[in-house]
Amino acid sequence: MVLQSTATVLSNEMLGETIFKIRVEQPAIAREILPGQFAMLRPHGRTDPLLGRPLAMYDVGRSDSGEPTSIDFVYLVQGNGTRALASLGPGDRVDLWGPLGNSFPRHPSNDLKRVLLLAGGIGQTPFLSVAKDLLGQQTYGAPANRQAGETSVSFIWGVRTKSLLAGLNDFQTLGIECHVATDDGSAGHHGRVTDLARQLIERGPRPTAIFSCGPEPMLVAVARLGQECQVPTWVSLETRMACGYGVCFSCVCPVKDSSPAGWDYSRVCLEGPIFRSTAIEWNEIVHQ
Amino acid sequence: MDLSVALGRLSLANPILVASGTFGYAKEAAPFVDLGRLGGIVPKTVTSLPRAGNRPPRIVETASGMLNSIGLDNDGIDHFIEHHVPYLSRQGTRLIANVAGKTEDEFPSLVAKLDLVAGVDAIELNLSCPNVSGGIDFATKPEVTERVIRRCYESTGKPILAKLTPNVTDILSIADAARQGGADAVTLINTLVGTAIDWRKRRPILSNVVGGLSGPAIKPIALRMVMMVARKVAIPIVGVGGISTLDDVMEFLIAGASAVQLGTVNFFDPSSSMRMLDDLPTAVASLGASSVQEVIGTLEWPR
Repeated sequence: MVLQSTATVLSNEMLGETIFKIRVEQPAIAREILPGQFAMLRPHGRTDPLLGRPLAMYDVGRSDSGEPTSIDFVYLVQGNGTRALASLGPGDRVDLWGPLGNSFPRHPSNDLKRVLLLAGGIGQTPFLSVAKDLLGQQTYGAPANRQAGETSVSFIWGVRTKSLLAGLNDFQTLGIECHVATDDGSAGHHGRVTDLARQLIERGPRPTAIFSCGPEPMLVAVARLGQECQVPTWVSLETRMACGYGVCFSCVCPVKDSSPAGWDYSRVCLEGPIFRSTAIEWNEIVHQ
Repeated sequence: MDLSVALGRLSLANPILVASGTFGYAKEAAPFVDLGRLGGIVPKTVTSLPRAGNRPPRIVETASGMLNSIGLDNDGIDHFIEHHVPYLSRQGTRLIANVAGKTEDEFPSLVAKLDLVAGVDAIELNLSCPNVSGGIDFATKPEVTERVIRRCYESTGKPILAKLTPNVTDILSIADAARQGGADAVTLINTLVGTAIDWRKRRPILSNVVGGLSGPAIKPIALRMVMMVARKVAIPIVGVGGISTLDDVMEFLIAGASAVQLGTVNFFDPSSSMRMLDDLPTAVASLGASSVQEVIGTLEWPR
């Protein structure tokens, strides 16, 4: 069930220079939120900044008996809203509403034999839970009826510079193949994450699916990569949102349809944030 | 406690409505809001033909507010009648459809279409959408306002609300024109036109360059306009603009609004309408009144 709640901050730790992980106590949302879904968060009781910020679920926190009790969100401080969130500490309150949006594909199929997770910038945030879910290491929402070992997962993360790889260890401890790329060469592959991904795909084994999240120019390149390598590709879009639940029509992206123009705007918060890369009218985005 | 109010020919179970463009087509808000408890729903503006709307970015956050330039993204009136009215009209609350015409002729034709639709209780005219490029603002000249409203009034037996823009020099003359045109009520205020600039890129942030300012930042302006019109023009008023708490609702009622619309608050506090409805009876009772109608327009003017 989607709900709004005023919830208590349990912790809000700095993972890197400008990257934080906030843990919020909200069992009802924690029980249901799925990998790839998000919630809207804002500090409680103030109107500046005004709007909630859409943050992908990073992981769900559990009690000693394994019951979901809290939700972790990892975020990059980049403006007023995230700065206000970063100023919160344990005991402070946030308004949050969720779970919102759709999830990445998660039911066993041939598409999900070898999944490549491709993150850029702060786009790694949905992928910790995606990986745990696919590997059967953790259950989110209702059990997905998956046997461990059916899926292999690899993770490639590109960032500007090494200090932005906050939480890389969370992925490495899953026992999956992890690669990094940096624009400045301070860690891993020196260059674009999509170039690294292409090398790895060509070296094989080929992934059966690509899940990607990152800045728009990167997603454009990922969509092209998926098409050229003929790998089904899903992308999680990040657009400016006001409400997060479909009433404001702010967060739209062009999705192909049968209308005369060949596309119409869809709400990323409702119809997304995850789309098949082939469903998006990328030319319209590129020309924005 | 009697919460009922009237806007001319339109009676409402309570004065708390949700504003057009801030509540989608209501279905999206159903997880947060018991729709049947609202005094009424004003869904997103519909136009004669489908409109894709403006390119993103469509919003910018501002100090205690936001600018939007959605550009009337909608699938057109036929789609609205077929796909949204059936759901909206069975929620046990008033459905006030909101329409915008590109020309003076389009308004009465949209209204005539809705006149035939069972379940639409009233029609709000969006005379003042700031986001339609090349669009004419029908509520900046009193004679145009009156003429458009009269033609709509003559096209339907349903109550008419005229949503007015604050971007005028004399709101009183426009509100009076709406009254003379036959509007049952005026909705005050639509958004204020503003802009936001990314100085590093030397570019406007909104693709449409300008947008409508809403949210708590504009509440004092809306409250003043409601107060002024309530004192000078004999027409019921629906107050809207930055209302975020029950205190805000009470201020608008005292200033002379017979009902209010919640707008931007739906974005940042999705279930706020329910909490306001929980608390409204106590607030009215605290003034020694036993009905909402008793408190409307009871502002005491300083001597």
